[in-house]
Amino acid sequence: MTFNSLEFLIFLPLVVGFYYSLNPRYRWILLLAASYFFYMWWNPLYIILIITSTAIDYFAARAIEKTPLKKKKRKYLLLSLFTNLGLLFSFKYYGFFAGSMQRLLSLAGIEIHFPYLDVLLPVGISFYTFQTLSYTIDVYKGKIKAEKHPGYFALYVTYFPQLVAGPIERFDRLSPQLKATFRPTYENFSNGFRLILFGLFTKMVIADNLAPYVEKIYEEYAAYSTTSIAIGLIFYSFQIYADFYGYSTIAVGSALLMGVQLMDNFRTPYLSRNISEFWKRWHISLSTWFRDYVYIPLGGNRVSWLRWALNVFVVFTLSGLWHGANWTFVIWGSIFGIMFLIERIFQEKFHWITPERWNWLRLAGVIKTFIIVTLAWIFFRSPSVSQALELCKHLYLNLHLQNTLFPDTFVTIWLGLFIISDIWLFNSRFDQRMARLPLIARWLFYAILIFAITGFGGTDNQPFIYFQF
Amino acid sequence: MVKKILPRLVAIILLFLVLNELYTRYIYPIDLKKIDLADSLQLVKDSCNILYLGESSNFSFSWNDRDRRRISDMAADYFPGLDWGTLNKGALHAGIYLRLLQQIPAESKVETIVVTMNLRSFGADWIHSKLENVLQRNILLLTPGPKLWNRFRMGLKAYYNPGEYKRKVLLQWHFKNDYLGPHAPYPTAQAWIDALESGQSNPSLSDSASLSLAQTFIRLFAFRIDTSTNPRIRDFDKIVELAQKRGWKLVFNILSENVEKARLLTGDALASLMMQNRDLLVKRYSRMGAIVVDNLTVVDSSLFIDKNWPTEHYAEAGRKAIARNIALALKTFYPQVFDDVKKRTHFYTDFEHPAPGFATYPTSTRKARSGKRAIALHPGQSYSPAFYLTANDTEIRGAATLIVSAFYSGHVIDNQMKLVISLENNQVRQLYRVAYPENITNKEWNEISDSVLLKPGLRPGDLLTAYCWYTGTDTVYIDDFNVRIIPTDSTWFDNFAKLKNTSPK
Repeated sequence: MTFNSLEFLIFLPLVVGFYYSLNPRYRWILLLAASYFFYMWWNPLYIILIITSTAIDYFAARAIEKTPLKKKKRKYLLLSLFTNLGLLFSFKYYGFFAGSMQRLLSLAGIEIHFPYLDVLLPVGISFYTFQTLSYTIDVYKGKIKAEKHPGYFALYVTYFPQLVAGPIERFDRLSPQLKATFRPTYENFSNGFRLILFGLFTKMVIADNLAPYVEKIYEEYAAYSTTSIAIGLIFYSFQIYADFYGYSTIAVGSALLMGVQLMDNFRTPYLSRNISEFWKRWHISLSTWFRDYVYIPLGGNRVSWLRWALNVFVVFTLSGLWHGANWTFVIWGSIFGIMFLIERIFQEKFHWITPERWNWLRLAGVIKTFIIVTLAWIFFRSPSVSQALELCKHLYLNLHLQNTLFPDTFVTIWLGLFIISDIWLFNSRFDQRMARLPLIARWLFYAILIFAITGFGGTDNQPFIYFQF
Repeated sequence: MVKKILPRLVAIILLFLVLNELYTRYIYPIDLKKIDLADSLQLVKDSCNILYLGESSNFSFSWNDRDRRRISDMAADYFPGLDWGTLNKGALHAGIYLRLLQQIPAESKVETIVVTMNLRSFGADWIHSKLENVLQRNILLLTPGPKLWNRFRMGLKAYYNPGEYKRKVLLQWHFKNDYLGPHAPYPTAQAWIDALESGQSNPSLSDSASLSLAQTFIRLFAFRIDTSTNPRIRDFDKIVELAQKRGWKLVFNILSENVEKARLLTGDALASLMMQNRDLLVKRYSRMGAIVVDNLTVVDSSLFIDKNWPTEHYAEAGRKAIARNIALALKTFYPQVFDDVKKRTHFYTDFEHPAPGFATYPTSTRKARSGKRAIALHPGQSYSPAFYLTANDTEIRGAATLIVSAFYSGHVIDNQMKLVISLENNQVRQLYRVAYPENITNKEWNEISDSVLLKPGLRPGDLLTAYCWYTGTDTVYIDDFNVRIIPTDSTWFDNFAKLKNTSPK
């Protein structure tokens, strides 16, 4: 079930309605059943994976907590890591690694054929795997106590608003909220609906309408002028942002209807003045996950400069690989790693900074960051490295071409509105901003959003981009 | 809290009503234009007597076709006094036809509906086809209810829209579980496909291309129509109901399939299964009051355009054969206006529209003797579209006189403008006659004409053509091309001088 579907628009009010009408002691049963139902709507069979992962992490964490022996603790932690990463590897990375190994070995003259696994990638596997991993690691480190109630733990793993595309929540933040006895409040309802409304606008009107244009450019780049390709690349920057931001906003809004505050996953990332800031504003739950569970354990910045640089590069490359099993994602992550390091060198050696306050220098930084990010998306979006490079080549090869692909007028208008509202929302959230508006302005905004969602939603079947991760 | 929520809920409902009005007035027409089918429906629903609904079978897909017109246009040739409307797009089926027909207002001029019945569309492969998503999406705009709500459903993808994976699973399920009946050699399509793969079913399928084609035939045609569950049956039934309610005359056109090829590749069993399904449809809908035109085996295997995939794309002669059968069925309703194309002796075109007997050609609007269009001839395009006739196209037999005339406009000197009449039999020239203008005058339009006696008349394999040929360096225009075929005895030549200038203008 996707958030931008009729099924979800029926499912959510039903769940919220039953949630508040139930005795708080039994609410977890409803939420767990609803979450499993939500996931099984896509593919019932793959619920087995989630249940397996849940069961192993539940028992591993309990065992880690019970045993006083460090060696045994480590054994249980490894069990959890191997199971979760093993599942992730089998379903997501096996084909990629097998193919790459095969090619590598054939270069050395060794012909080995790895068996082919024809399996469908389970939706959201990277998200819930990382969520459960953070739980067992935190229990191992003694940061949190293991959950005793298997039901609540299962709910933490599968809580439907954030199950398939995040935000990747930490146990100490989400679990207490799932156990809390929330009463329905007008504030939560109005803020929740505001976020859902804005999320639907972002996904359905912006992302889904930009998608066909982007698809055309990425498939037939050789036929279009440089201007068209450039517009296509910029559109993709907004498509993927609107897609994922829209999803996260609906997730936060849906959870808020039940009193749960999920973390914000985005904070106006395209207004970042450098790559470092961009990653503090883009997919925040993943960035902080990599910071806490990869970067810091590797030594963070308390190591030599060279080691630190290597740590940064490894984190960004792994983050790229997290997104997909393809060299394109590895390159995409590496670009950010390299750009991050270059920016840091510039800042340190030349004391070149882009200030917090808005002025021309910051604006130049924002434009530069946007260009880097937009060009990096080429590797993210292209099916192969060779196609990504071809597209880059055609950016200047097609300068003479006249074949321009003009975007639809309405799409341009809505995109303009989205960009303006994104600037307006700088460092704040839509619901909070709306609450501060006068009544008439607020309802005018609602009317525009409702009209856009109902009358101008993209009609091509475009699943959430991040579902594939 | 309820006190706070209720007025807001009412405000949202009121807001939706206002927005719906705004959308219906200003945006809906723009959205409708994006869906060509709906746009075409708006154009034809008030202006035609006969409405033809079809899919890709209606079109010409072969560059060898001289007449590239649609089946519906060819059928319309038989009813010169009636207005025809055509709605067609690839992969349409009963479900979409029904939605389109529901949009036709009760006071519309439409009297008769001709609906294509594609046997393949009853099978799982088409029911769960990828193309179905787009059709289902587009048709949402025509669904009854508030227009903004329907548009919202489009945005939510609230239509039959299974993903690639689900589609694959559904198809596999049907192939493995749909029972083919006691007379089929295998219980299910999958078993049949597997048997072909292992060489048990037809060991003579030596090459992989034939094997693949045979398996495709099984996938597309090995099914038994279950009248209680098949969605196409449900939709065709509703079409019959709707036609009865509106008082429309209803004709179902069962399309030709390459039964011969199916038999060759898979044996008699598949052909027999196709016939059984055909018989079921004919029986069911004839009983329900519709005229069912059975074209299943009308088109010869050689006239199917696609050789590597079973489709209903026919060469010109195939489309003509189907059109004729439809026209003969419609004759029951319109005996007064029926004009048998095969008995026609007068062919004329002013190039405003593609015309029967003449090859389809691009026209020019720069100059015209009648209407707005003519044919431009210049060094890059020396020949006008040919009038052509084969023994299959006409029932006129025996000696006949052919009188051909056309008008040309432009600077012509010497023998630059010619009118050619040619007769070939199986590509062997039997007759070749070139005529020149009798007088080159200063008039805007001059006539060029000729006549010839076809002594034995048209025989099988004959191809009679007539066309203008310009060898000058300027541009000349041709209009009002006129051909008469007159069954002839010896006395006709005495009156030739009088007859040859005859033209409808």
